[in-house]
Amino acid sequence: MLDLWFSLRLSLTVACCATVIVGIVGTAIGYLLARYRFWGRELLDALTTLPLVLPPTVVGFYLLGMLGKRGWLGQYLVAWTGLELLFTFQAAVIASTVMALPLMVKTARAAIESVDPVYEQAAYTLGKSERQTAFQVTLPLASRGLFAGLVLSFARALGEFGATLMVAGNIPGKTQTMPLAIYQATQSGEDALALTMVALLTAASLAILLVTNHLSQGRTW
Amino acid sequence: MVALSVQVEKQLGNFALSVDFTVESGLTVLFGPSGCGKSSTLSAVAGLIKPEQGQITLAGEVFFDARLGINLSTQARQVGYVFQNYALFPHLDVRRNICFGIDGTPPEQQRERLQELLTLLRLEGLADRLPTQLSGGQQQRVAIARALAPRPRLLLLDEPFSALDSELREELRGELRRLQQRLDLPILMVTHTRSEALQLADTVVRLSEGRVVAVGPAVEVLALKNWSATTGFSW
Repeated sequence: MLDLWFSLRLSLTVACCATVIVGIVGTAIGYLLARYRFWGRELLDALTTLPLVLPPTVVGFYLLGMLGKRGWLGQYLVAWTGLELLFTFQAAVIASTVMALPLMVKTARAAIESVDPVYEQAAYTLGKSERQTAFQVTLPLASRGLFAGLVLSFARALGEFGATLMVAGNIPGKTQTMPLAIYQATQSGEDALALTMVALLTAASLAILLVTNHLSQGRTW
Repeated sequence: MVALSVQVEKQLGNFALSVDFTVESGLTVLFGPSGCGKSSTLSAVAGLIKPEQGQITLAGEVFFDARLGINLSTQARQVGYVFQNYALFPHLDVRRNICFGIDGTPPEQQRERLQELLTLLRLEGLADRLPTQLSGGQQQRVAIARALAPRPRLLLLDEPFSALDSELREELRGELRRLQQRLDLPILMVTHTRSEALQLADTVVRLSEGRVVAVGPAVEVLALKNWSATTGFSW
């Protein structure tokens, strides 16, 4: 039995969690790429972009290898905390996070690169450390671009299907997000239900886009 | 007393900056045509670019010494910098722009210093405005107030009047001169305008193609018409 409301709630929760993580990690990586020259910079850029060009199932396969009970990360997690990630809510969040990360890193990097370094220099002459400058000057001035990155990431996380299916499975009432539920409904011929869910997901996405567009208006820097 | 001594060498693209001058306190003008290395010199003094060779000292304190491997951070040098287009933080109002460099001090102290600077630079009533809501002259005065707030040991000004119309320029030059005398603060200012140098400078450092060609009182240094490195020693 498909639980429509559960799936919608789950999708939104997963997308929110993923967006928070992506927002922090993606902004940090974008900042590094935009403002520092270091060994492996291009490699880091390429690695974080990879999920954008690989099929989601490939990313899911890697995550399986990483998070599984015998995976190179999963085995330690099980040994130390007894936690098993595969086919849980957390796995769905991780899948969405990885898939959304490239969008955030790309937009954050571009937004931060577009901030004139003279503002940072001004902050340094006023005694601010690099860290203080990042939080008080660079990131606020890049906020429009960062916000756009968050919206894109949220949308990407909300629609995530392939990687989620691989690592979180398709367990009704547990890990069945909206896109998975829609797939299942279509497969089993429940067209009316599928249509309802498609309409719901479309309406939710549209509402989010309208609200964010509205919020990001009226800033000039 | 020697206020500022700068002796630096730096390769910038295919342009070699190699300046060497020592000036007493007061208002010093770096004078020369565009692209002669004035702004780069200013950046080196502030620690925003690192020279390859030389040393920079202010009142006996070493800011930079290539041989001893000393390179004080911009933050530690405590110099005020007024950028060419002011670089006021566009997301902060006048109050927070001016208090930016002193926001670690107690609020009471910040308020006092803010009030003092608003009065000094005739910015009363503008504290809540954003930089975009200010005229060019007001923006310039906010930039100076912001640079002065943490009580710097030296004030650097990069073409501070270039973004202003001529009438305002005249007025603000006089103001800067009065300010310098009142605060007894050494100022190093960059300009390519002869009249500005004549009107303001105690000492003029004349640059050409990355090199110092003359140092001295304004009337003497600026009287040497069309001085350039190639025609330098003609007598």
